[in-house]
Formats: sequence, C-alpha cells, structure tokens
Amino acid sequence: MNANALIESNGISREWLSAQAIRGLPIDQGRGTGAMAWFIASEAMVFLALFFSYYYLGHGQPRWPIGDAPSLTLPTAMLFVLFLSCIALWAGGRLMRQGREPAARGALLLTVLLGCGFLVLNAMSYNSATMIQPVTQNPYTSIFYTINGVHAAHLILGLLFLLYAAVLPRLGPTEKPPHGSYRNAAMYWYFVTVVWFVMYAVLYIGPHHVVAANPALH
Amino acid sequence: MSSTAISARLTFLWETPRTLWGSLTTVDHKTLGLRYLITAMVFLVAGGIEALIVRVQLAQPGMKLLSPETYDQIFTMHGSTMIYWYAAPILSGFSVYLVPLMIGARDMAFPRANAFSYWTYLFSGIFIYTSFLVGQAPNAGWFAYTPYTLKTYSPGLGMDYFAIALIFLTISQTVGGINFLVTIFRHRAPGMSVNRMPLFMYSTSTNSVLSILSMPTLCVACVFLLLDRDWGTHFYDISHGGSTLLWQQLFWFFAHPWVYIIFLPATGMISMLLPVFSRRPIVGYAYVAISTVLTGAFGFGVWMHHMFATGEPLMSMSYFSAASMMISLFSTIQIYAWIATLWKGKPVLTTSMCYALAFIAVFIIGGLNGVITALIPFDWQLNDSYWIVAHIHYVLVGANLFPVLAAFYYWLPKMTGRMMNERLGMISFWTTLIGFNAAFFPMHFLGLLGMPRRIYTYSAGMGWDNWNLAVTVGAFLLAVGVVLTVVNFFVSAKYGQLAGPNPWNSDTLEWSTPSPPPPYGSVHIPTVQSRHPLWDEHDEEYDPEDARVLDRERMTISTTWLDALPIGLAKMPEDSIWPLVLALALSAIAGLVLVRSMWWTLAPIVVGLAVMAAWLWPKEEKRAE
Repeated sequence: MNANALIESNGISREWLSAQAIRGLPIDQGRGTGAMAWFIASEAMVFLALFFSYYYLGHGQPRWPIGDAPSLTLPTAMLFVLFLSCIALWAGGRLMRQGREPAARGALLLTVLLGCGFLVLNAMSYNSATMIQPVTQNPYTSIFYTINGVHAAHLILGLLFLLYAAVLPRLGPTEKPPHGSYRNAAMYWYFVTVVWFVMYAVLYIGPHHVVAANPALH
Repeated sequence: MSSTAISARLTFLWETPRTLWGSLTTVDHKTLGLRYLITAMVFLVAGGIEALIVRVQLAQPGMKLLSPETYDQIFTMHGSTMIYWYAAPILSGFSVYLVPLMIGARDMAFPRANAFSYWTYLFSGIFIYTSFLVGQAPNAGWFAYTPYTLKTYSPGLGMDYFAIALIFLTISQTVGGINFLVTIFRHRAPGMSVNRMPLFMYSTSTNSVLSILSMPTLCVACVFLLLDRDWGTHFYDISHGGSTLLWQQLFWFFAHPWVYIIFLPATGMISMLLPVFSRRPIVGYAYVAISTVLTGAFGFGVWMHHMFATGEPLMSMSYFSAASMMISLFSTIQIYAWIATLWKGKPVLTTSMCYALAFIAVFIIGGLNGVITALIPFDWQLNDSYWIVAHIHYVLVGANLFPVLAAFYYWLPKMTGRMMNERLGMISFWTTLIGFNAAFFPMHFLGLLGMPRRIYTYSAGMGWDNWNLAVTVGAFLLAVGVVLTVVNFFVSAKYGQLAGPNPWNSDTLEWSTPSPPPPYGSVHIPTVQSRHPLWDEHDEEYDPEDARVLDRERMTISTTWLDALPIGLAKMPEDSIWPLVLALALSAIAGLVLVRSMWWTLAPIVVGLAVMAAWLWPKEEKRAE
C-alpha cells in the first residue's frame, strides 16, 4: 500500500507523513517531564507506605501518639515557608516563559533560600521541648521521626534539583538536553510541598483533633 | 541519497567501538538487553544449583549433607535469586532488547538510564552473593518474616544483606520501569496508535506501572527492618509495642504485584509468538490487552490472601478471598484467547510453540491449585505445607520459565542471527517438561500428607520418602533440560543455520531489521498502519525523500501517546561512563551501610551527586556530515 492509501485509511491529515513535516519537527522538550511524573508517582507510594505504617502502628495502641501530641507552632510556620517558596517558584516559571531568564533564576534562588529556611525550622523543631524524645523510644517516635527524616531528605534532593536548574546554561527550551529542567525541578518541589501539607494534617493536626475529641485522653 | 551512505552515517552515529572502554560505556539497548538476559540466566543457574543442593538434602529422610543453618541459607538464596534476580530481570532483558525494535525507535527513551538500570541490577546481585563469602547469607526465606528477621533471632549480617540488596534492586527496577513507560508512550513509530501496539507493549507497560507503584513499599519495609535491626527503632518489635504484621502488610502489598511483574510480560511474549506459530492474528486482541491491564490493577487488591492465617477481620478476609478468585478471570480470558487462536489457526509445532503450549497446560494447573487456596478453610489447612511450594512453582516456573524458554527459541535467531537447533530443542523441551512435572507434581501429595515447607530434614515413616525421592529425580531432570537449552544456545549461536530477517514469517517490526539488527535498528523510522505491520501491504519504510532516516545526529521520533502522531525529534545521548560510575557509587553506599560506617557513606553520596550533575550537563554531541 502506498503512502496516500495509508493517509486515507488513517483519516489523518496528509501533512504528518510528508518529509517537510518530519524535518520541521521541533526538538522534543517533554521526555524528562514524563519521567519526572512517574518518579513522583513512585515517591508518592513511599509516603503512602509511611502514612499507612503510621496508622497501622497506631491502631493497636491505647493512645496514639504515645505521649503528647507534637506542637503546632513550628510546623505551621514551616507550612507557610514552603507555601511562599512555591509561589516564588511559580512566579519564576512565568518569568521564564516570558523569556526573562535572569529574573527566573532569581526566583529559583529565592525558592532555595526559603527551602533552607524550612530545614532550619525543622532542625529547631527536633530540638524543641515536646520533641526531645529519642527515635528509639517507642513505635510512635520511630515512625514519626522516620517520616520526618525521609521528607527532609526528599526536600534536600529537591533543593539540589533547583540549584542545579539554576546553574544550567539555559532554563527555557533548549537545543541540547536536559530539556525542561526548570519545569521538572519545580514539579518535584511542588511534590515535596504537597507531602508536607499531608504530613501537617496527619502528624500534627490529626493528634490534636483526636485528643480534643476524646477528653479521656487528657 | 544512496542508502549505503545513509547507513554508513547511521553506523557512525550509533555504533559503540568494540573496545573495553566501549563495553563499559555502551548505552545500546541491544547490548544491554543481551547482558540482562545473560546475567539473569547466570542467576537462574546459580539458583538452580542451590535448588539441587536442597533437593539432595531432602532426597532421603535424615540426610546430613547440610547443617540446618546452611540449609536455611541455601533455600533462602534459592528463592531470593529466582524471584528477585532471575524472574523479573530476564523479562526486563527481553523488553530492553525488543521494545525499541518493536515500536520502531532507535533506542530507549533514556539510553543512559537504561545502562544504569543494568549495572545496578548486576551489582545488587553480586552484592547479595558476597554474603556467601562471609558465610552469612540471608536465612529467613524469600519473604523474610519478622520477628524472626530481627537482630535477636537473626544475628549476623544475613538479613542486612537481604534488606540492602533489595533496596538496591528497587532502584534498578524503578528506573527501568520509568524508562519503559516513557519509551512506549512517547517513541512509537508514527501511526502505531495504542490499538495497534503489539500485545507485548501492554504487558511491559503494565509491568512497569506495577514496579513503580509497588516497589516503594518493599523499600520502606526494608528500611524499617534495617532501622529495627541496627538502630534500635521499634517498628516490628512487639515487646516494645511495634507490630510484626506491619512487615507482612508492606511486604505483600509489594510482593503480590511482583507476582504479576514476573508473570505479565511472559504472557505478553506468549501473545506475540503463539499467533505467529498458529499462522493467524490473535483472537480477541482487545480482550487480551484489557485483561492484561486489569490483572495489573487488581494485582494491588489481593495481597492479604498471603495472610489468611494471621487472624484478620472477617470483612477483610472475605474481600480478599473474593478478589483473589476474581483476578483469575483475567488470566482465564487470556488463556481462552490463546486456545481460540490455536483452534482457529494452523499451529506449527516448533520448539518455541511446544514451550508455549506447555506453559498453557502448566499454568492452568498452577491456576487451579492456586484458586482453591483462595478458599480460606482450605488455605488454613495447607498454608506453609508443600502444597504451597507446588503452587508457587507451577505458577512461577509455569508462567515464567516456560514462556522465557519459548521466547528464547523464538527471538534468539533475531539476536544472534542464527537458528536454534530444533532437534536438540525438542529433546530439551521434553526433558524440561517431564522433569518439571516429576519435580513439582508430587509436592501436592507431600502437602496433603502434611509435610511442612522449609524443613531441613524429616524422619522416615511419615509416608514422604518416595515422593521426596521422585521430586529430587525430577529436579535433576529439569536441570538437565535447562542445561540442554543453554548448550543449544552456544552451539547454535556458532554453527546454527543463518536466520535471515524474518525466519518465522512474523508480523511485528523487530523482524523487519536484519538479524542481528544493526546498532540503529531500521534505516527509515517505520510508519505503521495495522496491528501486523509485516503481514499487511503497507511498506513501513516507504520514505522516498529520506525524511525519516535522521542521519545527522543521534535522534528518534517522538509521537503522541494515544495516536502516535509525530510531535518532535528526541535527541539521544551518546555512550557514557557515568551510569557505571553512579552504580559503583551506589554499591559503595550499600557496602558501607552494611558495615554501618554511616559517616563514610557521605563520600559516595557526594560522588554520586557529582556524577549525576556531570551526566545531565549539556554537551556537544557528534554529528554526521
């Protein structure tokens, strides 16, 4: 069968097969984004398994969390810091698409700074009075600090992604790979932020709610 | 433009020099696919030798070949090797080799990540086998239940090796899975819409999704195990309020999908080769494709059937019992599609076809002795007996080894350029089939007679003696059958008849290239207009203006995921040493965690990050003028 019959049988416009159309194709910028999406899916499953373990370890306990519920002050501040960093990152993406690369790089660096601020607050929260228990104390401290630590490790990885994107020669569409570095690093950063939102609900808000709803636990 | 000039340029662009450096840096999916296949076969032989040692120990009551401690290590390594380092990687090997050729792409979407997957797989396997050198191999079975695996009951390094090696393997499988998905859904030849994909693409992509979504739970479970063993946390430790069933929940949430990871690509291969040898298209293409995907989806909803004996709530047991029976529907649809294909076709009994037919028969037995174990009272009776051993081997050997052997006889002519010897092939087939059934069928009786699995010996007079002897003889016969195939491979690769591009008159794109294929695949990226490109009248490589040769740089065509319309040209990277260095850095991390030099792990971590930075940095690539 010749190409004409092929085009007719497909019901597709004849342009897509012509030599001109193939030669005129742009450099594909989207491969890495697909990979990043699947990578995030696998990372999401890591956290799903961790949250599952948190509840699974808790369901047989007379009291969960064992001991006092963690304080809300610093985690709330951390939530705001991450939220601000996402706004900076999103604004940087807009600037990049408008072709204003230096400004976009500035937004990336601002995001990195806010991310470092999050890590500092996280370290402070480990030292605060309500959280001074060692990780080896009981199943609650084990799972609590493991989730916290795993998230911090992912956040550091996200910071490194952002820093790397910030030093790459080009942020926007490129001739040479890696393509879409800003977009892919940003996707990962949004992901670690969303995970912190879920952690905030599960590890910090949840226990307060349970204690408030059941006065016997006081 | 003359076609020799084009292929010379393509060869210049894609060929890896045949030097030591070339072999360490290559990203050619064909080389890597062959390496995967050979490495997995080496692990099959290693696991097979361990199985034979176990069978000699159990051949007679009261044998003293192995001490109980050594026996535990050998059977654990047998199961772990076969399940983690043979069964899934061998299918990755076929996928790595065949997927780009079948979809008409020049290589995988991420060729260097592909090399990284291979090296990580290889090093993780070497890593767990070094445990034999220190005499402390894992010893708790392939599913490593807590609390037995905690430090108190399993001191030594064995279970640390197990946990670290599996985390290591997770990295390889996850990277591989992402690579397959992006390749299959972004680089199919123009016109190969999803309803025209070879069925192997459905099974490989379902398998990849399963890997990506299920292996993280294994990773988490193994991290908990390491933390409990070496850093004093209390995830699994009941005496401090932990939950021993947490391991089982996390592990089986991973391990049941893993069963389908082992099984689905194998069915995909059968769906490719069985219609070819039946001389007709497969019956019910859409049903086979859909049931492949649904098997994967439902594979996430049946894990608790491994835990019926642990005292779960009635509600959850009923649900998982029903789901376990339901999932067999999807496999049944595939089996009926194959039988109908045979029925309506004109079957040709090649060795490959014989293995495919044997697979169907053996798999039906494995399905039946499995589906009755989904009945909870029956399961309570037979759990942890040899009945389960019979079931797992009928399913895993039936659904993995037989299709793999069928695939070897079918695709090796493409890979080596020479036909396998049919006469030797038939001898190996009958030896394997008889040996397999002699080895595993009597295990049903042993299970019904109450022989527990994993005991290192037994006393005479239990009524088990003769059956055990039969099993041992069968195991050796099975080993002879596999060895004959390996011999056949080596002899045929050197002296076999030349295969030509399409010896079986098959329908899919990999058969349009010469055998073995040149490093760039086909000269013109093909276009596709039916499910059977080589059986229809359309000329896939029709390209009078040489628009689809892409002979200036290393490139392949990107297409939309549903309709496969061209949307871009993807630049492909050149050979690189970084994947190997990154895999070595990971090995160093694994080794240092094993000996708990945590501060020292910072060195390979920094090296690894630097390698990734160098790997991704934009650079000048070679061009053909």
